[in-house]
Amino acid sequence: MSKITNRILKTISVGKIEKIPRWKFIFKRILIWMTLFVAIILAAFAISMIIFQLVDVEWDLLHKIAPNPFFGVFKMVPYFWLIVASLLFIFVYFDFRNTKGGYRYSGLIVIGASLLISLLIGICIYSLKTPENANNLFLRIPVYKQLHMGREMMWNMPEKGILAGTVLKINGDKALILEDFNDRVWTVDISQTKGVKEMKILVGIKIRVIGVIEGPGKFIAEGIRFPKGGMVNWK
Amino acid sequence: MEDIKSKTDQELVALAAKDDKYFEYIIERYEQKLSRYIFRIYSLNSESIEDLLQEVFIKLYQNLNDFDAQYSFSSWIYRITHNVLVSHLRKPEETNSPISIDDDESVKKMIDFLPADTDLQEELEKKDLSLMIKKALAEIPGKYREVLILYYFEEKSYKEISDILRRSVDSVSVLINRAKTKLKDRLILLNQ
Repeated sequence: MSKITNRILKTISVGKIEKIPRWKFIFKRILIWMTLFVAIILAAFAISMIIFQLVDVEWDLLHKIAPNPFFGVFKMVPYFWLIVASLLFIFVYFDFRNTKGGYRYSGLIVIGASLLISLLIGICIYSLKTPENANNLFLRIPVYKQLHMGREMMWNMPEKGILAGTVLKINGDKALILEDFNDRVWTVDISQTKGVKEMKILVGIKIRVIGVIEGPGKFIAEGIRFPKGGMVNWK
Repeated sequence: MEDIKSKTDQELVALAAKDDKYFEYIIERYEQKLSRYIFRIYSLNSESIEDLLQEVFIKLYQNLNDFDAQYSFSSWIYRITHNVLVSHLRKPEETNSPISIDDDESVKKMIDFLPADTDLQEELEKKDLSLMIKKALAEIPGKYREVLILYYFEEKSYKEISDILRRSVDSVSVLINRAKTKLKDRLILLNQ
């Protein structure tokens, strides 16, 4: 037995060093795969929220709020959920590298595969209308509400032909009393609005009105749309 | 003993995981290889090398139950050594000097630590080139030096290096190419 072998064996014996039991390694591996699974599901949820917010954009009216199409699209990017999803993908990448053979795959493959899986699950989550309900829940969080309002405010530009706000009163099929996101009260003429009779407009809900200003506090509606960002009165 | 020598690494680890007496044979099988590897990367004195070796084998002992027979044991133990070296180099009090061929003592120590290197004498005959390569190797960043040592000196394949450094094979390939370029650039500078 060599000197170093003797020294090592003595250190193990004197220091009462023990082998780590196998179950601890198995537990650690399970934990890594579980966190990976949770991160993928959360990323899928973030993606469903991104889809939801992108679908909520009135793409055909984008030219009204931003004459430059590039800036218009730039304004509509759901940054919050994009950042959340990106952070989760970074976590997935590093977590996957901690799995037994995870390092064998390049970052591009790991991120690409997790993105694809999250996208597929995200589409399923979106089709279950989960993001709409979740969004309504998140609106109870002041910071999130602030961010969401910022996006909604973009659809409140009466001078550009878009008015957005909460319905305060319905005067038959002639007019609506609407309070916009700047607390201004408007009388919206809906007598000439297409398809208004088929719409279920209720007091307290949010709507987007497309039309023109007729005078101070008066707006003629050409069309009415319901934002997909929740039908609750969050003001 | 004869019987032990015929056992594969995997078999030996399986035996050592159950019975401590077999651990001795693992140490004996890898002691010199790892000493050489450590010395090739950093010119430490024999005492420091022994300290590092002890740390490597204690870590190996503690983690024996984590060994997966699907993977190469050799890569695994080199991986542990790499980790021990990395954490050793992070310690601020450590003042490691990479192999310096100007230091004759290092060459002597290297010969002592390289009993398996039968070509060494022959290589030293081409002293100028050998000197320059080793000097250049000592002057390039550690991560490049290590990958070149693993590939050329330890004769590890790309896949084995990938397992040791926990990088993809593609990334190892890129690293080796960059290391070669760094070494070449350094050699050009030294030759001027």
